[in-house]
Amino acid sequence: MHRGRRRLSPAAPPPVRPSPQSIVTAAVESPSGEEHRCRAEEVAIAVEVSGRTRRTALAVAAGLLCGWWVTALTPFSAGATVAVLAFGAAEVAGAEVLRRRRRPHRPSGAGRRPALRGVAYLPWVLAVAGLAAWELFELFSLPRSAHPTISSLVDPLLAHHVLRWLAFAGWAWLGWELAR
Amino acid sequence: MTSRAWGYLGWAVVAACFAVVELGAVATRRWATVADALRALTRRRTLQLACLAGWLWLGWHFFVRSSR
Repeated sequence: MHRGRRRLSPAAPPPVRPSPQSIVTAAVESPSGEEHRCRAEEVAIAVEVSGRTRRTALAVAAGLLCGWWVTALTPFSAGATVAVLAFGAAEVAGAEVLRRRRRPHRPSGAGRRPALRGVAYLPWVLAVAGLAAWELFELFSLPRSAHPTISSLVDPLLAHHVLRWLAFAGWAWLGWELAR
Repeated sequence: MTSRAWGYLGWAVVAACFAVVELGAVATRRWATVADALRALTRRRTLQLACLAGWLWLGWHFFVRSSR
């Protein structure tokens, strides 16, 4: 008759999940010393990391939404120019703010690989020089239609909004890596 | 072979060079990876600003100036 209905019992209240703050408070106020203090620190770090992750996820989602809008604007228009440059400037400014906040907490060189010698970058210098040389060769060769450049290779792909948006996301990520 | 085909072949070689440099760096650790190179570029403020200016130009070139 009463199939599917749960009978509620007043003697069994639903379990309450403690908030991270209450765990921290309880651990700090506990008299049993070091172990609890360590636990409190762990929880405090977990709370901070979870907050940072949420903020990062929100910023990425906002950036992706903004990117969708920017990549839908008419090419060669003043609006598109302003939108792309403003997005870039906002990203650089955001990275600068984070860098200034982070700087006092980071010991010099901590968590980083030791600096490589100059010769270690030679393969990249040669690869970039090769790319630049081939681009210039193709750019100044005639007839233009028979010599593809990076732009002429990429333009047909960027004609699709989704691909354009993905490329914009890649561009934004590169900017973040350069600016942070 | 047409000059257009030569053009595509050249780009394929350039792309292969980038892939070989990165894979070689990851496998042998004898030279810098792309992440190391980016980090080195951003270590000096002037170089970082130059890279950011180039990056902004790239964005303008591909997302404003490109013909759809």
